[in-house]
Amino acid sequence: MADNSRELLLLGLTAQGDRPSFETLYRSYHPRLSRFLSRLTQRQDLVEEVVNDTFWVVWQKAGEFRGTSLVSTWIMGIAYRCTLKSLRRSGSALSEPLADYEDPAASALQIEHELRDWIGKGMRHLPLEQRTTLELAYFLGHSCEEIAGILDCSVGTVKARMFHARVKLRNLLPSLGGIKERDRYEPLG
Amino acid sequence: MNHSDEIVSSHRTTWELIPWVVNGRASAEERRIVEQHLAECGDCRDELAFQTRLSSAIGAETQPVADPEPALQRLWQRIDGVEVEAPPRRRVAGLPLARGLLMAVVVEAVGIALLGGALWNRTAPQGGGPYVTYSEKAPVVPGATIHAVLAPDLKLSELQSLLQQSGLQIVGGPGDSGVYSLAPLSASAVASAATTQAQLERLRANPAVRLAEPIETAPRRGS
Ligand SMILES: [Zn+2]
Repeated sequence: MADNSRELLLLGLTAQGDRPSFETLYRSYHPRLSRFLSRLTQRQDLVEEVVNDTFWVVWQKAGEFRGTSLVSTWIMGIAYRCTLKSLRRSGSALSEPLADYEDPAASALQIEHELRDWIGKGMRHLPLEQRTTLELAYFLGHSCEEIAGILDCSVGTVKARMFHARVKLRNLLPSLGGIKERDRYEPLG
Repeated sequence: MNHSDEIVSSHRTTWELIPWVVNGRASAEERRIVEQHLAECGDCRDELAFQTRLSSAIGAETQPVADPEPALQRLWQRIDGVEVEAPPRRRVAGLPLARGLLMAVVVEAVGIALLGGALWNRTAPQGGGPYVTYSEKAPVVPGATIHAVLAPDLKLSELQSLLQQSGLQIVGGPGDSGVYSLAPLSASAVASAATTQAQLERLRANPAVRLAEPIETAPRRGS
Protein backbone atom coordinates (compact mmCIF):
# COMPACT_ATOMS: atom_id res chain seq x y z
CA MET A 1 0.00 0.00 0.00
CA ALA A 2 1.13 3.52 -0.72
CA ASP A 3 1.26 4.41 2.97
CA ASN A 4 3.98 1.92 3.69
CA SER A 5 7.03 4.14 3.28
CA ARG A 6 5.47 6.72 5.58
CA GLU A 7 4.59 4.05 8.12
CA LEU A 8 8.09 2.62 7.81
CA LEU A 9 9.55 5.95 8.81
CA LEU A 10 7.11 6.37 11.67
CA LEU A 11 8.00 2.89 12.87
CA GLY A 12 11.71 3.63 12.53
CA LEU A 13 11.30 6.72 14.68
CA THR A 14 9.20 4.74 17.13
CA ALA A 15 12.07 2.26 17.41
CA GLN A 16 14.15 5.16 18.65
CA GLY A 17 11.58 6.03 21.28
CA ASP A 18 10.03 8.94 19.39
CA ARG A 19 6.64 9.40 20.98
CA PRO A 20 4.98 11.71 18.44
CA SER A 21 5.69 9.20 15.66
CA PHE A 22 4.28 6.38 17.75
CA GLU A 23 1.20 8.46 18.53
CA THR A 24 0.70 9.22 14.85
CA LEU A 25 0.77 5.50 14.10
CA TYR A 26 -1.56 4.76 17.00
CA ARG A 27 -4.10 7.36 15.94
CA SER A 28 -4.07 6.23 12.34
CA TYR A 29 -4.68 2.59 13.30
CA HIS A 30 -7.07 3.14 16.18
CA PRO A 31 -10.35 3.56 14.22
CA ARG A 32 -9.96 0.65 11.81
CA LEU A 33 -8.38 -1.60 14.41
CA SER A 34 -11.18 -0.87 16.90
CA ARG A 35 -13.86 -1.64 14.35
CA PHE A 36 -12.06 -4.72 13.15
CA LEU A 37 -11.62 -6.01 16.70
CA SER A 38 -15.13 -5.29 17.84
CA ARG A 39 -16.45 -7.28 14.90
CA LEU A 40 -13.96 -10.05 15.35
CA THR A 41 -14.37 -10.51 19.08
CA GLN A 42 -18.01 -9.42 19.39
CA ARG A 43 -16.81 -8.12 22.73
CA GLN A 44 -16.84 -4.35 23.03
CA ASP A 45 -15.16 -4.61 26.42
CA LEU A 46 -12.07 -6.23 24.90
CA VAL A 47 -11.47 -3.74 22.12
CA GLU A 48 -9.37 -1.15 23.92
CA GLU A 49 -7.47 -3.85 25.75
CA VAL A 50 -6.49 -5.54 22.50
CA VAL A 51 -5.70 -2.26 20.71
CA ASN A 52 -3.38 -1.32 23.56
CA ASP A 53 -1.86 -4.80 23.84
CA THR A 54 -1.12 -4.54 20.13
CA PHE A 55 0.49 -1.13 20.34
CA TRP A 56 2.35 -2.05 23.47
CA VAL A 57 4.01 -4.78 21.40
CA VAL A 58 4.56 -2.29 18.55
CA TRP A 59 6.35 0.05 20.97
CA GLN A 60 8.48 -2.77 22.38
CA LYS A 61 9.30 -4.48 19.09
CA ALA A 62 9.49 -1.63 16.60
CA GLY A 63 13.26 -2.04 16.49
CA GLU A 64 12.92 -5.68 15.49
CA PHE A 65 10.79 -5.03 12.42
CA ARG A 66 12.80 -6.25 9.45
CA GLY A 67 10.78 -4.71 6.66
CA THR A 68 10.09 -8.08 5.05
CA SER A 69 6.37 -7.31 5.03
CA LEU A 70 4.25 -4.19 4.97
CA VAL A 71 4.05 -2.35 8.26
CA SER A 72 0.27 -2.79 8.18
CA THR A 73 0.63 -6.55 7.75
CA TRP A 74 3.00 -6.67 10.69
CA ILE A 75 0.71 -4.63 12.94
CA MET A 76 -2.43 -6.55 11.98
CA GLY A 77 -0.58 -9.82 12.65
CA ILE A 78 0.26 -8.60 16.15
CA ALA A 79 -3.37 -7.55 16.61
CA TYR A 80 -4.58 -10.99 15.59
CA ARG A 81 -2.28 -12.75 18.03
CA CYS A 82 -3.26 -10.33 20.81
CA THR A 83 -6.92 -11.02 20.02
CA LEU A 84 -6.44 -14.76 20.38
CA LYS A 85 -4.63 -14.30 23.70
CA SER A 86 -7.20 -11.90 25.04
CA LEU A 87 -10.12 -14.10 24.09
CA ARG A 88 -8.46 -17.10 25.67
CA ARG A 89 -7.75 -15.12 28.81
CA SER A 90 -11.33 -13.90 29.05
CA GLY A 91 -12.66 -17.39 28.55
CA SER A 92 -14.56 -16.69 25.35
CA ALA A 93 -15.20 -19.78 23.32
CA LEU A 94 -13.34 -18.65 20.34
CA SER A 95 -13.20 -20.86 17.41
CA GLU A 96 -16.61 -22.24 18.33
CA PRO A 97 -19.20 -20.80 16.04
CA LEU A 98 -22.63 -20.17 17.56
CA ALA A 99 -24.66 -23.34 17.83
CA ASP A 100 -28.12 -22.19 16.89
CA TYR A 101 -29.46 -19.71 14.47
CA GLU A 102 -32.81 -18.09 13.92
CA ASP A 103 -34.52 -19.07 10.73
CA PRO A 104 -32.87 -16.87 8.14
CA ALA A 105 -35.66 -17.44 5.66
CA ALA A 106 -37.95 -15.51 8.01
CA SER A 107 -36.00 -12.37 7.16
CA ALA A 108 -35.98 -12.91 3.43
CA LEU A 109 -37.36 -9.51 2.58
CA GLN A 110 -34.76 -7.25 4.01
CA ILE A 111 -34.08 -3.64 3.51
CA GLU A 112 -30.43 -2.79 3.17
CA HIS A 113 -29.45 -2.20 6.78
CA GLU A 114 -31.28 -5.31 7.91
CA LEU A 115 -29.36 -7.25 5.32
CA ARG A 116 -26.15 -5.99 6.86
CA ASP A 117 -27.33 -6.98 10.29
CA TRP A 118 -28.30 -10.35 9.01
CA ILE A 119 -24.95 -10.92 7.33
CA GLY A 120 -23.37 -10.02 10.65
CA LYS A 121 -25.34 -12.83 12.22
CA GLY A 122 -24.23 -15.19 9.50
CA MET A 123 -20.63 -14.15 10.08
CA ARG A 124 -20.89 -15.11 13.74
CA HIS A 125 -21.46 -18.69 12.67
CA LEU A 126 -18.06 -18.87 11.07
CA PRO A 127 -15.01 -20.10 12.98
CA LEU A 128 -12.79 -17.22 14.04
CA GLU A 129 -10.11 -17.81 11.42
CA GLN A 130 -12.64 -17.80 8.58
CA ARG A 131 -14.35 -14.70 9.90
CA THR A 132 -10.99 -12.99 10.30
CA THR A 133 -10.07 -13.85 6.74
CA LEU A 134 -13.29 -12.32 5.41
CA GLU A 135 -12.93 -9.20 7.55
CA LEU A 136 -9.32 -8.71 6.50
CA ALA A 137 -10.30 -9.01 2.85
CA TYR A 138 -13.57 -7.09 2.83
CA PHE A 139 -13.33 -4.71 5.75
CA LEU A 140 -9.64 -3.84 5.60
CA GLY A 141 -9.00 -4.63 1.93
CA HIS A 142 -5.94 -6.83 2.38
CA SER A 143 -4.67 -9.06 -0.43
CA CYS A 144 -4.50 -12.82 -0.17
CA GLU A 145 -0.71 -12.69 0.38
CA GLU A 146 -1.01 -10.01 3.05
CA ILE A 147 -3.61 -12.03 4.92
CA ALA A 148 -1.28 -15.03 4.85
CA GLY A 149 1.35 -12.80 6.47
CA ILE A 150 -1.05 -11.48 9.09
CA LEU A 151 -2.41 -14.88 10.07
CA ASP A 152 1.00 -16.50 9.70
CA CYS A 153 -0.29 -19.21 7.38
CA SER A 154 0.17 -20.17 3.73
CA VAL A 155 -1.62 -18.51 0.83
CA GLY A 156 -3.28 -21.89 0.23
CA THR A 157 -4.70 -21.82 3.73
CA VAL A 158 -6.11 -18.33 3.17
CA LYS A 159 -7.77 -19.55 -0.02
CA ALA A 160 -9.19 -22.59 1.77
CA ARG A 161 -10.56 -20.48 4.62
CA MET A 162 -12.09 -18.08 2.17
CA PHE A 163 -13.63 -20.98 0.29
CA HIS A 164 -15.20 -22.52 3.40
CA ALA A 165 -16.42 -19.15 4.65
CA ARG A 166 -18.12 -18.44 1.34
CA VAL A 167 -19.77 -21.84 1.12
CA LYS A 168 -20.98 -21.57 4.70
CA LEU A 169 -22.40 -18.09 4.21
CA ARG A 170 -24.14 -19.27 1.06
CA ASN A 171 -25.88 -21.93 3.12
CA LEU A 172 -26.59 -19.63 6.03
CA LEU A 173 -28.04 -16.91 3.86
CA PRO A 174 -30.49 -18.76 1.65
CA SER A 175 -32.55 -15.68 0.90
CA LEU A 176 -29.72 -14.82 -1.38
CA GLY A 177 -32.31 -15.86 -3.96
CA GLY A 178 -34.00 -12.57 -3.18
CA ILE A 179 -30.77 -10.76 -3.77
CA LYS A 180 -30.35 -12.55 -7.05
CA GLU A 181 -33.77 -11.44 -8.18
CA ARG A 182 -32.75 -7.85 -7.75
CA ASP A 183 -29.36 -8.46 -9.22
CA ARG A 184 -30.82 -9.46 -12.55
CA TYR A 185 -31.34 -5.78 -13.08
CA GLU A 186 -27.88 -4.80 -11.91
CA PRO A 187 -25.86 -7.97 -12.50
CA LEU A 188 -22.53 -6.73 -11.18
CA GLY A 189 -23.93 -4.96 -8.16
CA MET B 1 -7.63 -30.20 -22.43
CA ASN B 2 -10.93 -30.24 -24.23
CA HIS B 3 -13.30 -27.34 -24.15
CA SER B 4 -15.39 -28.46 -21.17
CA ASP B 5 -12.24 -29.13 -19.11
CA GLU B 6 -11.12 -25.62 -19.89
CA ILE B 7 -14.43 -24.25 -18.70
CA VAL B 8 -14.23 -26.24 -15.47
CA SER B 9 -10.68 -25.04 -14.89
CA SER B 10 -11.44 -21.40 -15.56
CA HIS B 11 -14.58 -21.71 -13.44
CA ARG B 12 -12.50 -22.88 -10.47
CA THR B 13 -9.88 -20.23 -10.99
CA THR B 14 -12.49 -17.51 -11.31
CA TRP B 15 -14.47 -18.66 -8.32
CA GLU B 16 -11.30 -18.51 -6.23
CA LEU B 17 -10.34 -15.08 -7.55
CA ILE B 18 -13.72 -13.40 -7.09
CA PRO B 19 -13.10 -12.05 -3.54
CA TRP B 20 -9.86 -10.42 -4.65
CA VAL B 21 -11.58 -8.84 -7.64
CA VAL B 22 -14.28 -7.57 -5.28
CA ASN B 23 -11.79 -6.03 -2.85
CA GLY B 24 -9.67 -4.60 -5.63
CA ARG B 25 -6.54 -6.59 -4.84
CA ALA B 26 -6.51 -8.94 -7.85
CA SER B 27 -3.83 -8.26 -10.45
CA ALA B 28 -4.71 -6.98 -13.91
CA GLU B 29 -4.09 -10.44 -15.32
CA GLU B 30 -6.34 -12.04 -12.71
CA ARG B 31 -9.07 -9.52 -13.45
CA ARG B 32 -8.78 -10.31 -17.13
CA ILE B 33 -9.22 -14.04 -16.47
CA VAL B 34 -12.28 -13.37 -14.32
CA GLU B 35 -13.92 -10.99 -16.77
CA GLN B 36 -13.44 -13.41 -19.61
CA HIS B 37 -15.02 -16.24 -17.66
CA LEU B 38 -17.90 -14.14 -16.31
CA ALA B 39 -19.09 -13.55 -19.82
CA GLU B 40 -19.88 -17.24 -20.13
CA CYS B 41 -20.82 -18.30 -16.58
CA GLY B 42 -24.01 -17.27 -14.82
CA ASP B 43 -22.99 -19.00 -11.57
CA CYS B 44 -19.85 -16.91 -11.31
CA ARG B 45 -21.81 -13.74 -12.10
CA ASP B 46 -24.15 -14.62 -9.23
CA GLU B 47 -21.22 -15.30 -6.98
CA LEU B 48 -19.61 -12.01 -7.90
CA ALA B 49 -22.88 -10.23 -7.09
CA PHE B 50 -23.14 -12.08 -3.77
CA GLN B 51 -19.56 -11.32 -2.77
CA THR B 52 -19.99 -7.70 -3.78
CA ARG B 53 -23.01 -7.43 -1.50
CA LEU B 54 -21.24 -9.25 1.27
CA SER B 55 -18.22 -7.02 0.93
CA SER B 56 -20.20 -3.81 0.99
CA ALA B 57 -22.22 -5.04 3.96
CA ILE B 58 -19.00 -5.87 5.82
CA GLY B 59 -17.34 -2.68 4.69
CA ALA B 60 -20.27 -0.42 5.59
CA GLU B 61 -19.47 0.16 9.22
CA THR B 62 -21.83 2.49 10.99
CA GLN B 63 -20.75 1.72 14.52
CA PRO B 64 -18.97 4.74 16.02
CA VAL B 65 -15.56 4.15 17.53
CA ALA B 66 -14.25 5.56 20.77
CA ASP B 67 -12.00 8.60 20.97
CA PRO B 68 -8.44 7.23 20.81
CA GLU B 69 -6.94 9.79 23.19
CA PRO B 70 -7.99 8.36 26.58
CA ALA B 71 -6.89 4.88 25.47
CA LEU B 72 -3.59 6.29 24.23
CA GLN B 73 -3.01 8.00 27.58
CA ARG B 74 -3.63 4.70 29.35
CA LEU B 75 -1.16 3.02 27.04
CA TRP B 76 1.51 5.61 27.90
CA GLN B 77 0.88 5.01 31.59
CA ARG B 78 1.40 1.33 31.02
CA ILE B 79 4.53 1.85 28.93
CA ASP B 80 6.02 4.32 31.38
CA GLY B 81 5.20 2.06 34.30
CA VAL B 82 7.21 -0.68 32.66
CA GLU B 83 10.06 1.50 31.49
CA VAL B 84 10.74 2.90 34.93
CA GLU B 85 11.57 -0.61 36.05
CA ALA B 86 13.08 -2.05 32.90
CA PRO B 87 14.24 0.21 30.12
CA PRO B 88 13.74 -1.54 26.78
CA ARG B 89 16.78 -2.70 24.92
CA ARG B 90 16.57 -0.05 22.24
CA ARG B 91 17.68 2.64 24.66
CA VAL B 92 21.02 0.87 24.93
CA ALA B 93 23.78 1.59 22.47
CA GLY B 94 23.65 -0.61 19.40
CA LEU B 95 21.40 -0.51 16.45
CA PRO B 96 18.51 -2.84 15.75
CA LEU B 97 18.16 -3.28 12.02
CA ALA B 98 15.08 -1.15 11.58
CA ARG B 99 17.13 1.84 12.57
CA GLY B 100 19.49 1.26 9.70
CA LEU B 101 17.36 3.23 7.29
CA LEU B 102 17.18 6.25 9.53
CA MET B 103 20.81 6.03 10.49
CA ALA B 104 21.73 6.00 6.82
CA VAL B 105 19.80 9.21 6.44
CA VAL B 106 21.56 10.67 9.46
CA VAL B 107 25.05 9.71 8.40
CA GLU B 108 24.56 11.25 5.00
CA ALA B 109 22.90 14.27 6.52
CA VAL B 110 26.01 15.23 8.41
CA GLY B 111 26.73 17.85 5.79
CA ILE B 112 23.40 19.43 6.52
CA ALA B 113 24.08 19.17 10.21
CA LEU B 114 26.94 21.58 9.67
CA LEU B 115 24.34 24.29 9.38
CA GLY B 116 25.34 24.78 12.97
CA GLY B 117 23.94 27.37 15.30
CA ALA B 118 20.58 26.05 16.24
CA LEU B 119 21.55 22.39 16.07
CA TRP B 120 21.90 20.56 19.27
CA ASN B 121 25.09 18.98 20.40
CA ARG B 122 25.81 15.69 18.68
CA THR B 123 28.58 14.56 20.97
CA ALA B 124 27.93 11.81 23.46
CA PRO B 125 27.02 12.90 26.95
CA GLN B 126 29.39 12.02 29.77
CA GLY B 127 29.10 8.37 30.64
CA GLY B 128 26.66 7.77 27.81
CA GLY B 129 27.04 5.51 24.83
CA PRO B 130 27.67 6.86 21.36
CA TYR B 131 23.99 6.74 20.47
CA VAL B 132 21.51 9.04 22.07
CA THR B 133 17.88 8.34 21.43
CA TYR B 134 15.68 11.01 20.03
CA SER B 135 13.31 11.00 22.97
CA GLU B 136 16.13 11.49 25.43
CA LYS B 137 18.14 14.05 23.56
CA ALA B 138 15.50 15.84 21.55
CA PRO B 139 12.51 16.72 23.62
CA VAL B 140 10.20 19.14 21.91
CA VAL B 141 12.22 22.27 21.28
CA PRO B 142 10.33 25.34 22.49
CA GLY B 143 8.59 27.02 19.59
CA ALA B 144 9.06 24.04 17.26
CA THR B 145 5.89 23.06 15.40
CA ILE B 146 7.06 20.42 12.93
CA HIS B 147 9.36 17.41 12.92
CA ALA B 148 10.90 16.56 9.56
CA VAL B 149 13.23 13.97 8.08
CA LEU B 150 15.00 15.14 4.95
CA ALA B 151 16.60 13.34 2.03
CA PRO B 152 20.32 12.85 2.68
CA ASP B 153 21.28 14.26 -0.70
CA LEU B 154 19.41 17.51 -0.19
CA LYS B 155 21.77 20.37 -0.97
CA LEU B 156 22.24 23.14 1.52
CA SER B 157 20.94 25.74 -0.92
CA GLU B 158 17.85 23.63 -1.64
CA LEU B 159 17.24 23.20 2.06
CA GLN B 160 17.49 26.92 2.62
CA SER B 161 15.07 27.77 -0.16
CA LEU B 162 12.64 25.05 0.96
CA LEU B 163 12.62 26.46 4.47
CA GLN B 164 12.25 30.02 3.24
CA GLN B 165 9.33 29.11 1.01
CA SER B 166 7.65 27.32 3.88
CA GLY B 167 8.31 30.14 6.32
CA LEU B 168 10.22 27.81 8.61
CA GLN B 169 13.57 27.66 10.32
CA ILE B 170 15.54 24.88 11.94
CA VAL B 171 15.47 25.11 15.71
CA GLY B 172 16.71 21.63 16.50
CA GLY B 173 18.12 18.47 14.98
CA PRO B 174 18.95 16.38 13.19
CA GLY B 175 20.71 14.69 16.10
CA ASP B 176 21.26 10.97 15.85
CA SER B 177 17.69 10.31 14.82
CA GLY B 178 17.83 12.44 11.68
CA VAL B 179 14.83 14.43 12.79
CA TYR B 180 14.79 18.19 12.43
CA SER B 181 12.65 20.41 14.63
CA LEU B 182 11.24 23.29 12.63
CA ALA B 183 9.61 26.49 13.85
CA PRO B 184 7.90 29.42 12.12
CA LEU B 185 10.45 31.79 10.60
CA SER B 186 9.39 34.91 12.36
CA ALA B 187 9.95 34.77 16.09
CA SER B 188 6.75 36.70 16.63
CA ALA B 189 4.69 34.47 14.38
CA VAL B 190 1.95 32.66 16.22
CA ALA B 191 1.91 29.03 15.13
CA SER B 192 -1.74 28.55 14.35
CA ALA B 193 -2.90 25.08 13.40
CA ALA B 194 -3.80 26.33 9.93
CA THR B 195 -0.36 27.85 9.37
CA THR B 196 1.31 24.67 10.50
CA GLN B 197 -0.95 22.62 8.24
CA ALA B 198 -0.10 24.79 5.25
CA GLN B 199 3.60 24.50 6.03
CA LEU B 200 3.29 20.74 6.38
CA GLU B 201 1.63 20.51 3.00
CA ARG B 202 4.35 22.59 1.43
CA LEU B 203 7.03 20.39 2.97
CA ARG B 204 5.32 17.15 2.04
CA ALA B 205 4.95 18.33 -1.55
CA ASN B 206 8.73 18.37 -1.81
CA PRO B 207 10.15 14.95 -2.64
CA ALA B 208 13.26 15.69 -0.58
CA VAL B 209 11.11 15.72 2.54
CA ARG B 210 10.90 12.11 3.69
CA LEU B 211 8.62 12.78 6.61
CA ALA B 212 6.94 15.85 8.06
CA GLU B 213 4.72 15.57 11.10
CA PRO B 214 3.16 18.22 13.33
CA ILE B 215 4.47 18.35 16.86
CA GLU B 216 1.62 17.76 19.23
CA THR B 217 1.06 20.71 21.51
CA ALA B 218 -0.82 18.71 24.13
CA PRO B 219 1.24 18.15 27.28
CA ARG B 220 3.08 14.90 27.09
CA ARG B 221 4.79 12.85 29.68
CA GLY B 222 8.52 13.38 29.53
CA SER B 223 10.89 10.50 29.11
ZN1 LIG C 1 -18.01 -20.01 -13.45
